[in-house]
Amino acid sequence: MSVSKSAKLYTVQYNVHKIVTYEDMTKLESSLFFEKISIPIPGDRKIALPIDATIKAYVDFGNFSKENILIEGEKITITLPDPQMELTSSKIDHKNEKEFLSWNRTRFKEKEKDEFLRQGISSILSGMKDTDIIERSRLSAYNALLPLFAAAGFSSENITMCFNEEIENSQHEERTIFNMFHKD
Amino acid sequence: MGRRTPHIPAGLTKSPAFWIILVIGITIYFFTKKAETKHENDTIGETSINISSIKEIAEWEFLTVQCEEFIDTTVKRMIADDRFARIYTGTIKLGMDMKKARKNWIVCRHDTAHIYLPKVEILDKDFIDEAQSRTFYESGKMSATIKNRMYSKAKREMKRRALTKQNIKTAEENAEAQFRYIFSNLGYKVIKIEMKR
Repeated sequence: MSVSKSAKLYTVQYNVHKIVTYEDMTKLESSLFFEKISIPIPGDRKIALPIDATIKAYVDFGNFSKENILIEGEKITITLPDPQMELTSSKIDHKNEKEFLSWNRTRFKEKEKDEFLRQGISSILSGMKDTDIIERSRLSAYNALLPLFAAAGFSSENITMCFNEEIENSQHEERTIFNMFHKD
Repeated sequence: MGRRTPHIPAGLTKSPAFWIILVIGITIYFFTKKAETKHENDTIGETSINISSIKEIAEWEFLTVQCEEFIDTTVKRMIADDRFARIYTGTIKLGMDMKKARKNWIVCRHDTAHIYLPKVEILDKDFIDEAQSRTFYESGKMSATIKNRMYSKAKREMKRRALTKQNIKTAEENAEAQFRYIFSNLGYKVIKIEMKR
């Protein structure tokens, strides 16, 4: 068990469902009279494992300092690190696990299933990158932090929240446009 | 007594079927002796990810407890017992759900900020990453009911270890420090924090 202090603001939660499937195509390989022979083992050996996972996106305030806050008269600009996502839990629906086995094939070992599930989780996380989770998290962070700065006396039109990556991207865009016009 | 050498009846050696069976037998023997099974694919099939729900949340995490729990079980059988052991991993987050905070949870007057915070609690109802947990030992077949029972036991144990008075106190202190830091950077000189316990 390890315990560590943190300061993260979780802003959006996605509940996802995936059916992890695997079809075992095994062959018997051997050599006979110096000739390599491979024979596919007939019959089915298939498995379907349903998983439910929860992914949350957060803004890490671990390195938040006064440099992240800029107050100019009635206006305030808060620079936040870009949101990150994290798998907070996963649960296998054991009751709906299905195995399809021919008479000549062995059942799946739990260790084999562990490997498929690990791949399933990696697939979920890489699939999540194509969703709008980060964009939603930014918007949700704004909604969660707005009352805090509004209570401190700033009106909502004077509160600006920007994220590091957005700034970097806009700087990159500015540089690209600048380079287009100043090639020589 | 001397050892007797195996004697093949002369009638059998004259039969072509005998020689055919013998050749096939020798071929199968040498083939299977060196044979090994190879999986043609080790990767899972491509299936879609279904997003069942999206929820906007506002949860502050102030303490992270990473847990591992070893759970084993034995099922009594007629001939040999089935045994199963698994190592569950999970992350318990102690923090505050700001949706549970009172309506005006920050009240600022002059140079003083009053902050009313909800109580520190476990942020996730489910915190075990079952798909990343691993099987340590297995003999026999485990039913879904037994696996679910082991999962529940691991969850109970993790909660018991993580939800200690000391951990709650550390999370509360960290929460106080974080809010104090933000508001002092906003220019408030007096910061009063009240927390539900």
